[in-house]
Amino acid sequence: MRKILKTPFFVLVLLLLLPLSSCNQNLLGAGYAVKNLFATPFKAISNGISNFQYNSIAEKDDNKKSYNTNECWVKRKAPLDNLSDIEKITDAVRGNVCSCVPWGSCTTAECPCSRMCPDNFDIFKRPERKSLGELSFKENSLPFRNGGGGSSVTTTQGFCWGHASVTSKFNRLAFFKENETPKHSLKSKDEKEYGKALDYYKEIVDKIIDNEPVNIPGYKNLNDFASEPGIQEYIADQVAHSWADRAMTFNGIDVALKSNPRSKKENQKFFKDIVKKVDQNQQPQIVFTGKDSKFMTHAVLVSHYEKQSDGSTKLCIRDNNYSRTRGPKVKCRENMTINADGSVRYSAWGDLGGLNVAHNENPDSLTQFKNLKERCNKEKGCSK
Amino acid sequence: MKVFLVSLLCLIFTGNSFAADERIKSAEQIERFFLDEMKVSKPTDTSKFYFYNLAAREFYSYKFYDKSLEYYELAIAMKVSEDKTEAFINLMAIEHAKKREITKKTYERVMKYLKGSGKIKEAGISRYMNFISESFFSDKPAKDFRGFFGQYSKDKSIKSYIKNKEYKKALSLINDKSVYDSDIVNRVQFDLLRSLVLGKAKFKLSCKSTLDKFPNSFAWSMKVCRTLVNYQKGRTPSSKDVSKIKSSLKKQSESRLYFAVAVEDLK
Repeated sequence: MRKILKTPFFVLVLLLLLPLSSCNQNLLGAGYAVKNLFATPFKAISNGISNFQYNSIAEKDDNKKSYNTNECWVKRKAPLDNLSDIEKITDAVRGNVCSCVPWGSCTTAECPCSRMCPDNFDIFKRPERKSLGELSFKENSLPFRNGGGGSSVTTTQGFCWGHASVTSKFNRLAFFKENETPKHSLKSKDEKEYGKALDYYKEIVDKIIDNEPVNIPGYKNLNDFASEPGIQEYIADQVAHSWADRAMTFNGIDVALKSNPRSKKENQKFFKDIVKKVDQNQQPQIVFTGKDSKFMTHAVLVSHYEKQSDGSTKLCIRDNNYSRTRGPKVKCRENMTINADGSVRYSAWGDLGGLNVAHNENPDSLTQFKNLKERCNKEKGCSK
Repeated sequence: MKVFLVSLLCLIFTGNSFAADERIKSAEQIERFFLDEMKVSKPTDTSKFYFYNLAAREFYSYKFYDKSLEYYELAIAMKVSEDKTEAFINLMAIEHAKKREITKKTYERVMKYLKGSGKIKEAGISRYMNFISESFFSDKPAKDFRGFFGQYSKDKSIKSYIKNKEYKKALSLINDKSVYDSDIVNRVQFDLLRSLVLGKAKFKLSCKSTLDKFPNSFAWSMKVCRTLVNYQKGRTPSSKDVSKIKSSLKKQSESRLYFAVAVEDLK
């Protein structure tokens, strides 16, 4: 490694990294790759790949000016001046206020583009959502659970990694437009039309899988959409494919082999990193292995977190082995905490061994960020 | 160096479009750029090897599978004493990501390296290669369904048993405790197998709740479910019923045509 650091190539790499924060996704990938030249590949894999590009955007989030939520509503020009009572009525009746938030309803004359299409991970926010934890509600979840868990005789880990990845992609990239008429409808009584509709919606699913934001007309939310039998089957296939694309790599094996508990310091840093991601509007995918149990590996989303009375953090887990069709909406039933000895305990599994942010998490987040920003700019007239 | 930086900045700030051809164009530009620079910088072979691995890994992350393959091949071709397991294993991962299959030729190439380097003696690597072998090249269905790779092996085995009309064996692999919350394909598969094994006996069909919600759906899964509901009422599927299911499967999910053959076996 020292040899690498001395090469002129290293200097080149350093120079390369500086301006990469505005590049497109291909450059993100390449910049990301070059960044990793500093790491010894095999040894670094299990620790996740430190991501210069991701951090450069995350830092923008840290530096943003905090704003009062009251400022998020901007009053539109009143049709009648000096008639405040009537103004109040028209505000209520005609919606004479607009939301000056990411993806809000204001125009660029009423709210700056930097607020509506932020250049940081606030782009993952949606006006209709009060908290990130709401993503874990039934309506924002797939209507089927991961195939893992259950009987000890036939237990497998299912396609958990694919389930977590596909769910996260839908939550970040899908724009459900219940009242928009789709080009073709799956409710049609004509079988040929049904076939066309199925192809039409499969293309939409493909876009989501490719990290592109897309409208989904005719459906109110993910649960509603993925309940359609033809769609559900296709999404389930994508879950299996997404699992294979991640788990069948060398990185996947590496994750499965890490079963020794990590140090207290490492686990504290992990919790801190996750809290930061959650604060930056992401439910990250994490992968872990049971303590001393190689290949007993699972992937889940972190829904949100809770601060304990002693100041410690409890990570609330959105575990795809549990159905979202029953029970209270958002609780912290499945959770992770740091034990006194520094190891991590998952309420549903006991003590854990390896524990990492999934290796696809940051590349996916970066691509989604760029594509969402591009869509927002176009939609709001901020493309300049 | 100045020219280099100016070129880089131009490259970075041009175009925001993510159309496929632009994606590829950008990838090629960056790649050429790096390779040219590598010629100038003359890194050691070991550095080059790590760079190729890293570039390949990153190309994989962004689904540039051909580029990823190219760089892993470059890493493999380097005459260095470094561990090449990542590159070899990911040759199979790339093949699977692209075609949903792994060829025997690639598997044998990987195995040759793992045996030659002694890496095959490592339990994790050995278990992984065994999983690949059982899932893709064995005539007999896999029997090891433990842990991380278990579901993939299990699904392949169930499919294999159904194709061989060994319905009881296929059914024995399904976890009946979790199937009711599972996706529609798993539920229809479970119901169909139970019907094949139990005959016209009445039991709760796990697909019925979805059929009740989408009674007019043309999805093949709903057609099979409708057939099973009628079967429990004493109606054996007619050749016309089977033909309709076959036709839907051909249009909607051709790789699952074996479901239609199994429906034909409902007597």
